[in-house]
Amino acid sequence: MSEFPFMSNLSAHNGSQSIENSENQKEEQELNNETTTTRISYIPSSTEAQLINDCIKGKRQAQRTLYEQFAPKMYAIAMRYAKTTLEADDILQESFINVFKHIESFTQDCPIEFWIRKIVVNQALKTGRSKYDKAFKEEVSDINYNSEENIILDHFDLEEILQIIRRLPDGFQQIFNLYAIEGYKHKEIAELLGISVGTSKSQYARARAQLQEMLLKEDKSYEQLRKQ
Amino acid sequence: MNNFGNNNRKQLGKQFEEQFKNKFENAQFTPPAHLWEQIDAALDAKPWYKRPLFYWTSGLVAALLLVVMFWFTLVYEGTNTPANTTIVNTDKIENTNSDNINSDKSIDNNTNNSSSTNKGIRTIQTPNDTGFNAIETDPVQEKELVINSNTKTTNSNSITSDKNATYSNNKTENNLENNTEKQNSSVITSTTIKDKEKNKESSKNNISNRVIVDNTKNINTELITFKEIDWSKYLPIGNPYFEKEIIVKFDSTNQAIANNQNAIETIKDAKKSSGIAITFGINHTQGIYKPTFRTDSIYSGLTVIEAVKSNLAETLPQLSISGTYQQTGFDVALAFGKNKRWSINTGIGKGKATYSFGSTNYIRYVGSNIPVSRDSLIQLPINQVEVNYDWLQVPIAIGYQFGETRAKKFSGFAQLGTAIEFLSSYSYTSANPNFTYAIGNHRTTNTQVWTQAGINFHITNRWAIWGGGTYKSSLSSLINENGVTFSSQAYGWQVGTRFTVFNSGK
Repeated sequence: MSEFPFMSNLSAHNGSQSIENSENQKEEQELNNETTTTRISYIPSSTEAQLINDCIKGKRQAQRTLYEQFAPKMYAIAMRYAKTTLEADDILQESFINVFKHIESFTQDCPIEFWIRKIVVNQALKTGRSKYDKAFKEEVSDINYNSEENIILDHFDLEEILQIIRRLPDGFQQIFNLYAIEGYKHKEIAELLGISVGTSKSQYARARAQLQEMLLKEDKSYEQLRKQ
Repeated sequence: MNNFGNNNRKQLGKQFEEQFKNKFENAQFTPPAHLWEQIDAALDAKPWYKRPLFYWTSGLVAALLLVVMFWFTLVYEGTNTPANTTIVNTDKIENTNSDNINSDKSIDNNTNNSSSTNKGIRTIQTPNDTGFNAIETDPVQEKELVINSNTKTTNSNSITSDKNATYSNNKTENNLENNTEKQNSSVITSTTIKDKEKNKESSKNNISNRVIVDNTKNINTELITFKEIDWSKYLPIGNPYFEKEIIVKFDSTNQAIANNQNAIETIKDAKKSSGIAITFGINHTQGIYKPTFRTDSIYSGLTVIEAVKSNLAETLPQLSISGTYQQTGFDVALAFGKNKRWSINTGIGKGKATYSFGSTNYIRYVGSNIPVSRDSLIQLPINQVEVNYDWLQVPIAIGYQFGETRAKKFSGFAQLGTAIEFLSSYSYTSANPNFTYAIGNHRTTNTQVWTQAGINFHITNRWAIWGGGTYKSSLSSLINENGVTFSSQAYGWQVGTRFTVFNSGK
């Protein structure tokens, strides 16, 4: 299992129209192949290494530099997992506090960005745990979706997509983020969230369908608006 | 925003997830400027055990315990003997106790020679008075005289036959040498440590007070009784230091009352020290519950969800929140060691704490959709929030009992250990039901430093009531979710009762 899915498996998912059987086979194959994958060791640049060392020493200026360097990207991640901007603020704040408190445990075998990213994702999951724990226990009615339709996201700006993702029910949002964007596998998601692999897959399928539906609806409303 | 002219939005084959991934791959949003300041402050925040409040409180409790313990042992040591100690004039004994005392001529001589002879009793000033200044007093109905039972038996005619008592038939005690007129008297007197220092030759025994019955041939020593002193005349609470001290008692006619057995038993009782005892009890505590929120944690923990949010993160840590708590429970103790002073204490208690605070300057999103920016926010008035926390507590502590009075009515105790709290429920009530708070899940178990000290009042040998104070402080964060960390401290006043169900010794 990869420690940083978003690093080693950035293009792992083909995003086909939920052809789950082929997707599952592919995922299993990837998981099986992991043991034979050659791991490329990462050597941090001298600047990055110096920055990390200064942060370990507790130098506030170095910590601020690290924060300013990565906070915007991490804030975007937090925004995807949070329901509100203020919740995203909380996630980012707690994440960076954890980063600085535990930076001495960072082994520097990957870019520090990936390490921080993992902390942000974990913090986001931790923050929303009570909500999606409840959501996973609730029965979700089946959603019919048109697998033949697909959406081109280029026509939506980032904030629009963000708003639509946030409108996903609790649980759907986390699983969609983890699987579709972070590149986690269902087995990993199941372990992270304490659910079964089957639940992860079914929740993702529903999330994906709901998202498509919302995007299509949004798209149509704009078209109607334009015709008027 | 959208490319409305593009009619080919539905493209099969374009990978759905990949589009999202690409869209967010290098996405960046500028975080609010105040966020770094809060991180900066959080990094400076000290953990609870490094905060001055913890040091001061712990130090205060430790100091109080020490003061209480030393108060019993040190302060009373200076007043360990009654102000007046009596001696018995033998002529009275002779005159009034011909049946019981072997009076002879020597007694008469003593009487005649004694310049300080009077009708009854003489009183010696305090034991620190090294001059052996005898002051006459009016006869009283009953006189008591302290004997320290630590002295060694040197005489087979010992009054008590106890090894720890010294009664000399000789007239060689130094403290009498300068009082020749009393040489043949049957004198019971006392000496002090200072006396002893002056008279080192005769001070072979490690005693602080001593009773010398001189010329005991004139007194039937077997008839002298020993009696526990009523320390309540002198001290509100006694000290184990005095446990082996006994008193010689004379009746109104200065007749030595024969009851050796009592004295022996008393001394034996004092020696019976080791064994075990098991006690059960119930207790009730009322106190102050004081949660301490941390700036770096509360921000994400006690936020308003849904469409409403407050600035609790900024205000709550600055508030001095104080609530109340009550706890009722059972306790059990296993006492052991010398005089069963040490004990292992445990039990179970059910408690509840309630505290409230006002969350001010609410801000609310306009409309049902939650906006990304904070521009569309308006302020709402204050809302009162009450938090309730119920627990089951299991304390485990080491206890020490001290300062037992001679009459065994009062004693002090102190306990130090941990108290594990098991969460029963944790909830809040918002004055305005429109406001909901994500307060996180309270820890299911919470370990605390726990101490209590108080005073027992023994109604019977087995039954006692007690009162005292208690203090506990959480060792870990009480909420472990949503980044919430806050600690709590509780100060309480306790009452309870304990019953000894098993006692291996007396």
